[in-house]
Amino acid sequence: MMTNPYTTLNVAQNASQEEIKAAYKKLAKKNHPDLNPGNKAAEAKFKEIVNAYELIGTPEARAKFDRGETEEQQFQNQRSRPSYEDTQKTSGRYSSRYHGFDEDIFSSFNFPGEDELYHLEVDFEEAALGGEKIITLPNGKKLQVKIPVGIQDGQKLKFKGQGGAGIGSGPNGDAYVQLSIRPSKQFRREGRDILSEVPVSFFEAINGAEVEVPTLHGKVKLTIPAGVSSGTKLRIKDKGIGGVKEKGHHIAVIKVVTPKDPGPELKAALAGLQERFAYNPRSEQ
Amino acid sequence: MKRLEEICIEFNIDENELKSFVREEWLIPIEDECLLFDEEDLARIELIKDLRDELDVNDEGISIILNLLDQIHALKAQIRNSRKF
Repeated sequence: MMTNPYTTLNVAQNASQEEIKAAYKKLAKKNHPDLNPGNKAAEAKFKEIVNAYELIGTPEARAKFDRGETEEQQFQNQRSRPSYEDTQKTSGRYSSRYHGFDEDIFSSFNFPGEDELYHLEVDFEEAALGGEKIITLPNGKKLQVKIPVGIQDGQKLKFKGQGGAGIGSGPNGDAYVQLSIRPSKQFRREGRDILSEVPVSFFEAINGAEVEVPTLHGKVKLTIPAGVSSGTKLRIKDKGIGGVKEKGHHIAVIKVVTPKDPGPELKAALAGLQERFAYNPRSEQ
Repeated sequence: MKRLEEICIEFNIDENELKSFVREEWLIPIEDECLLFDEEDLARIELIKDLRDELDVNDEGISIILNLLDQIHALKAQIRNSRKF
């Protein structure tokens, strides 16, 4: 997309060539990247200004632009050489001449260090049950991360003073560890409750059964009452995410599974039953 | 690394003009005798040309700007170093 060069340079459509030039110089002075070290906005603005000036800076170019002939043309102010600022990012020969006075200047400056953010991936179970992990920061320092019981995805843990070093007598910054929780294949969370799917056969669904259900706290025997359907929820008390006052529960969500390949015998047996015990599950909705 | 003559062609400037940059101490060739310049110098020449030709800064102004820029970059380098702990 091309912005209107007149707007960019803040001049009227009928401005004189001198006015355009003056406007360009004024804006270029203000936004030259080397005079605004590290300021990305100024750098982008400067490119825009130069592009605009290329379009209407000379009477010939301007006439062309006004006739709409340069619509497709996008001037790219791309220099093949790195900018002066780029050459100063490691260590510049010219700036190093001033290193002599660094000590003095910085002894009077006190900056707090920067806060640093780290990411840590934990298993679903670890996040639900809590735990401890040791992570190594890029500077080699080790950080013992206590994962609180039931921490949520995206939550940040703060480590005071473990961030970037302060300058002068400025305090260190803080380190933050943001947790992301790897989803589990068998569990999902709803608040402090843990839900899992429990597959049952249709015989078990009709007659009831006792099955073993894996929970965060190990396997638990669950009595399935007769006549459950897919989606029926059965609560296993206190087997969710722990808490001092309030404990979450484990919610077993029943899923009735029919045989993949029923076979002619089963079909025939059921056909007889269907005649005697037919019911319409849609009528209950 | 480039020689004075190559740079004059590349930037379309006069040899005397480039020598005056050196005289003003805007540029410090890495090799004084045969006037050799490196990437940093080339970028600096580009900057000087920008300041003078595009921004209409006069010679005194260029000296002041370069001096202040060098100090800014020195300070930034110092900040960078102090962050490496």
